[in-house]
Amino acid sequence: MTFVSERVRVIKASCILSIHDTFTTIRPSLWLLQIIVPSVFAMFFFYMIAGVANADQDFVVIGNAVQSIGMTTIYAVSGIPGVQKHIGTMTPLAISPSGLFSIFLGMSLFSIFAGFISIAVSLAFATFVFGVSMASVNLLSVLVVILLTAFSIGGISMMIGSIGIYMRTSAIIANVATYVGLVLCGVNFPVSVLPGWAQTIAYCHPLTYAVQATRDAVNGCTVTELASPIMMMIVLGMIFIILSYLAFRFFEKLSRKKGRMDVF
Amino acid sequence: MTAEHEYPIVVEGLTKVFKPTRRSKLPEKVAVNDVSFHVRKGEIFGLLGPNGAGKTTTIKMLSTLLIPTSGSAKIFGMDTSGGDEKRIREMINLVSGGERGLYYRLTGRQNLRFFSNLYNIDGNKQDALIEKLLEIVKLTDAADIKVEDYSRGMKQRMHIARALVNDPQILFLDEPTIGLDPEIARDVRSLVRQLADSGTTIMLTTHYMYEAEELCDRIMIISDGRNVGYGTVAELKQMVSDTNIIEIVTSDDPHDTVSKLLTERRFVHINTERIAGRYCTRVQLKDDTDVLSEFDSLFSGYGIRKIGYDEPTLEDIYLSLVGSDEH
Amino acid sequence: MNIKAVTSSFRQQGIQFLADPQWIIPSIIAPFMFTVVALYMYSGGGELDSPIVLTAVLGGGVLGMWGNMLFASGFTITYDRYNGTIEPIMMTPTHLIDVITGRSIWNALIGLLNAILVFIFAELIFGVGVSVSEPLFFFPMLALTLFSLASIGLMLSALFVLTRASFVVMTILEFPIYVFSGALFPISVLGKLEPISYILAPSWGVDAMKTAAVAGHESITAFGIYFDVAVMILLMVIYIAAAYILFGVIERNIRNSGTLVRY
Repeated sequence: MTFVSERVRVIKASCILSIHDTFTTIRPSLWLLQIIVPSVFAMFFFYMIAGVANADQDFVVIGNAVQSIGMTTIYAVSGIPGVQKHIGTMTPLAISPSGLFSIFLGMSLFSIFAGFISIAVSLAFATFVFGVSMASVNLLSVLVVILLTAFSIGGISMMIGSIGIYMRTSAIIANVATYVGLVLCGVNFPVSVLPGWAQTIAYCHPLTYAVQATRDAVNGCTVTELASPIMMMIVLGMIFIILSYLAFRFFEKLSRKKGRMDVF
Repeated sequence: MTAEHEYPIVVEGLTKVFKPTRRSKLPEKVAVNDVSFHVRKGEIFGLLGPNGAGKTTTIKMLSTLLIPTSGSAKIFGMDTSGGDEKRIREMINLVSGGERGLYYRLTGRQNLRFFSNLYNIDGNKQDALIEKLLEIVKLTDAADIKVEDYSRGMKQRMHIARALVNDPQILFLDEPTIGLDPEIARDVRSLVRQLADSGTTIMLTTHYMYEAEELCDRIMIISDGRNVGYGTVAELKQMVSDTNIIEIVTSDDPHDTVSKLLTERRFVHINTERIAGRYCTRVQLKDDTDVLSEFDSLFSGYGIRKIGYDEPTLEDIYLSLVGSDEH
Repeated sequence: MNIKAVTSSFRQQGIQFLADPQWIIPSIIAPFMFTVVALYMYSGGGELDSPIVLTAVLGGGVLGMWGNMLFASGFTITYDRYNGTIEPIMMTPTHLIDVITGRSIWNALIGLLNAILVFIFAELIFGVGVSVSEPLFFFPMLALTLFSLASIGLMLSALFVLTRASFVVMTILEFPIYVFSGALFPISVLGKLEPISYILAPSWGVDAMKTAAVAGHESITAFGIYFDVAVMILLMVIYIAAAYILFGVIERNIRNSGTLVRY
């Protein structure tokens, strides 16, 4: 039991620290703005292109509302090790008995929550600014899907982030991860247009299921009707979290061997 | 010689108040409070005080980095916030202690070249200048190594070289030897001495009393932003001439006795330091009564090696003026 | 203006960039991905021959230049904050803006590299070649557009001096240019929002580039390229003047509050 309560304490403390850290550099209003502005502009940007290209504008707007999690969660979470290296706190964290995984999990929680907020706010904009009809929406489905989106995307982001413990290129990795979903996961155009190998990657990425399930939920699908994408998100989320735990241990060891803990 | 050339730095009623910002929740802070002094040409002027006393804030106001809330700081007769910043900046430079302040991904030489250009130094004079500076700080061999690979001491010497690119007439040094090993710190001090001997006016802040005593012609001690002592070391010693110092050297740590004595009011200051394996306790007291025998019995249990009256050092003066908050 | 400081800052930025060129990559990823998405959307997975695809590729180049410009001007000051070199710079007789100008010019040139990368990828992946109908006009227009972006970058870098949250500011500022420059879709579809495009120099640059590259492109105004150039230059002068004023105000501001050294 002490093992669990120790973990919980570490995770909680890391989570609180990351919240404090966020709001000492930026005001809550600016924080919200940085979530809303890129998300709304991205919707607007691709909405316009869809208009010129005679494509389905609702499809694009909902897709980008979900993709807004790219900035808030994927970028933020996968960039955490890089940030810690940058400010020089990686070494003190690594020598603490807590283990990096718990610390980074705690630090990620707020960004995962932010991802949830980001999608919810973006969907509101989708309705009120871009006229996506919510006439037949199934709110429960939307809620479940967004929650699971945040969870599964949090998992994949942590796994990507673990690389940053060892590599000094974590900024690049975080950036690629942020935008790769935009192309691969059916955000702006159907996955079926992509070449075969790209489709394979798309179906291993929880965002692909998240985007489609959100569209279906907006169009009235119930939770049971969405069972299959929901299951996929749960399973992928869990796999990625386990993988990230293993990856953290692996890269931690590797960087201790090679002395790369504070290289950035 | 005009007044501003005799006194290149003239400070009058200098005050800096940091207003609380909306988010930081910091209370309004009077960092520097009505400080006045002047610095003669070619002298080394020391600014001493505990952490947060306002030393760095004062240096920043003098070096045009901060605008005073009230009062004035004049460099060669020009106000540091009166529109002559550019001309002042041409004549001054600043060395800050610590690791930061250089471009890590550039070599030492590239750093110096960049800053020479910011001081608009003639292109065909730069090579010779940089060579000379590297020689002065003994970094000629490391000139083409990236600064990120420098040791702490090398970085500090590079800071000094950087600060000399414009051949400043006034050099500000903000804790230039902090964190350096004794040998390198000594090198830095002798360099400071040389610069002063060649006519550079130097103003430095430091935590190390022996450094101030060794280097400074005159000193100002500030605490909580206020001037609490100002003059030559001899003049400062006059300020505490009514204080007697007893030094007791013991083999064991007299901690219990010292903490008991601290509760008594008759002492200005007591502190114990460990020097070469012995415990050296210095007691400052105001009255003239002979307390030597009293102390002899108080400390007898710790193995007294030496006991007697002593002359006040700068450290004693500092401690009595600033109080014991820090020690 | 201290020309030596400008050229030296240009060189310094170059040396630093070459010492660690990975920092360029984040700035090209987003615009590159956007261009890829736009190409997929315009082609619908098939036809790639229409002139709109060529304009999208050209626009993608502009996105690349802007992404780089914004990222680099944000990072420049953040880097100085981190290194603790911002006070040593401020203490010199050189105006901070001279240093930033030198660096911006380097960044602009790297931005050009970004644009070329987008063109190459478009050719390799989608087989869309950039064929330019009037190269004599096109390349000067490309260069001018680049410098118009640099002048916006200069103005915005003042904001980056002020803020510790440079990444946040970057994120917020990235999109408006993507949207309003008409890089990936004609600004006429913006409707009531179209006037915003008029005050952004790159919109005129994009228009001039497209007019020079794509035969039959309908220009914003009936006056053609020369008008585009005139407006662009006028706007650039305004941006640069604004940058100078802003930097003056900001320098005074930080000398009062003493907050510059935090990062």
